[in-house]
Amino acid sequence: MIAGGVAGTGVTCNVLIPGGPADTRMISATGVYENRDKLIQPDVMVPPLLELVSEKGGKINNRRFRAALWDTSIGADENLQNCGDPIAWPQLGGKAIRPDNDPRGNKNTGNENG
Amino acid sequence: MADGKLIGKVVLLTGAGRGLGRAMALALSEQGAHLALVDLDGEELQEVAHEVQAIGGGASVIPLGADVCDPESAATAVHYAAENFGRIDVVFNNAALGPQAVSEDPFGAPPKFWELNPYIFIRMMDINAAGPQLIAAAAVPHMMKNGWGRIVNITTALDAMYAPGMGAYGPSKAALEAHTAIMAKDLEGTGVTANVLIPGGPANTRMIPDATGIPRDALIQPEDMQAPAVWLASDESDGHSGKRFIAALWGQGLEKASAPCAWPQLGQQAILPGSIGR
Repeated sequence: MIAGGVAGTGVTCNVLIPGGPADTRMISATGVYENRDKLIQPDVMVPPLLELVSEKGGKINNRRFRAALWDTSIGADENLQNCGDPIAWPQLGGKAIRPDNDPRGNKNTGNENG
Repeated sequence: MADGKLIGKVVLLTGAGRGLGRAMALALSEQGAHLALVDLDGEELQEVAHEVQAIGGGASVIPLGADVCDPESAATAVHYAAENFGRIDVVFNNAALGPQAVSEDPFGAPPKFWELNPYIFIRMMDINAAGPQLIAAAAVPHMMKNGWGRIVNITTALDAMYAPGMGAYGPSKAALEAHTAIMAKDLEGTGVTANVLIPGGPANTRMIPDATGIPRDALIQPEDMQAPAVWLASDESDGHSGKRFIAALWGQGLEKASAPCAWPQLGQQAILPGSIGR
């Protein structure tokens, strides 16, 4: 929604997540997590972050990126493709059943089940 | 009423004073349920309580003025309901602040997120996302004691969660949708279920202001919530948990009108260390 709000303003809004439990204080060092090496390391966030704040990253809006999938042996463009998805899963196609006169336009037949 | 589907059931329903809440309360009462009705607005709540009394009799309903996102107020409402009726079987978390709170015409002229009143944003997240947790957490021990219970959370359609103009409503409902999936997992094996019930699109309530230009009769009507609400509160829905039910599709049968809660079909789970099973 924020990404929709800033569309056309020169400001972008994207999501960047580690992709799973990361080696931070959010995951206490107990049980299987005692071995911190098994967790996603915080520095995986850096390459996609640098790409997103670069001039080139200015074209990217309304995407979510999973940093753990970033492969430093391949180029940034390919990585952005591999790690990225649309925000909030519109690909599910879950749509409200809206009347014809709804200002938001589309009349859907209800595709709630995705 | 003697053959009502909800004889002996005690239902606590929030946001009972109008809209979907009122419609569901009347239908639940018609099926013999005893009702603890919660709302902030005392006058509207009293009116609905009178309507319910006319259906179920004087002892069938208690109106409880409470703020669902105030921890003491929410817990007190649940406490009074349990004291009065001796049990709680079903909770409908229906109370919510809608898009009308941010704009007269939230769809035609959707406000940008940076234009939202910060206090309304926080209030909406509190009522819509935290309120259901406070009510459910207080009520669920009463249900588990009897080995049977229902938590029904009212959310919204997926695309309404991120449509322009829907901040903070959409994010608050996305939070409740996800929370319902967690509730259902936590309740496995207890006899208590947690599900989502939605109209399926914009409904004829105060949440859709006249300024939107949508004719009232083109909207989904609150009465469409009645049949699925009764079914969810009844023994007939035993075994259904972690699902979302769409009232507007109810007439097309259970399969078409239901889906897993919070869209697990995406299958995009977190990247976990190999040894960890979740």
